[in-house]
Amino acid sequence: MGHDIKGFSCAFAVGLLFNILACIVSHSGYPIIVVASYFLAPFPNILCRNRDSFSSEKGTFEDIGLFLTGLFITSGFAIPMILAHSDIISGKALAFSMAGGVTVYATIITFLWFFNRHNDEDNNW
Amino acid sequence: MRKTIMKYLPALAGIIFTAGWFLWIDGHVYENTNNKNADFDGPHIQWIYYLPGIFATLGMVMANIVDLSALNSNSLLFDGGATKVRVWLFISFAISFGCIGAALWIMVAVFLPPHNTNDAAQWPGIAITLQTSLIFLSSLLLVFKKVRQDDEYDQF
Repeated sequence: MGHDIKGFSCAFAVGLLFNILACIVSHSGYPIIVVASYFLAPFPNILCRNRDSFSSEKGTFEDIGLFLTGLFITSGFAIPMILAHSDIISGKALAFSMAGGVTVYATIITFLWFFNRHNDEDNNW
Repeated sequence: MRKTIMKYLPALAGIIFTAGWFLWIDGHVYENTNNKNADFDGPHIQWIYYLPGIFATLGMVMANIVDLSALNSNSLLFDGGATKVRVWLFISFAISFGCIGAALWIMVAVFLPPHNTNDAAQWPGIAITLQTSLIFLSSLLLVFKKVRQDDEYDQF
């Protein structure tokens, strides 16, 4: 268990590092904006998930959570693209930011899937 | 597989919706950055150009706050509100189509030749049309998800 969390933490830190490198390469602080969307991305899914398997709710709340998750993920990629399109940051910084986004979101999705699987296994007993 | 796709349609709708809005934001940032250059002669973006996107979002919300199961009512006397739902959906989609029309109008009247002779300055107009179209597309995806969900519900 501890080793798994360490792996996720390292991957997340590497993703943040890519964005810091993007700031350094472009001599600008703008790429760090997307870090906010990194931290916000998991929350809709966590807050809106319906944990009661016997509920008759059709899942509207869960749909809203998924919608907002898609919103934050797209923000993480769209903001560097907008900055690069207007030459506010360089193409190199854009590449670093994209790599950071892929790393962080892959980590988040794997994290949620991994610990959801553990919860499911616990529920089976 | 089909169930998994149906489950994650709202996430896809969110991605498309956000892509639409960021396309317009990109158009505004692009116009703002280039018009700082005195040699760049292009149209300037007015605050009113934000209205198609805002009302398209309103139309999306309107289309998705009604209970579509009322449309399945088979009663001969009491229609369970089906008529009201249909009128509401009609108004929602009319607003969405109106926003697409408004975006096309802005693009043609401001950003395309002969009103704008600078080819590099056409992007904001294209972006606003893509914005309203993508918002409407995400609205359709959400409604489609609810319709199919209601159908599955009625099968039990």
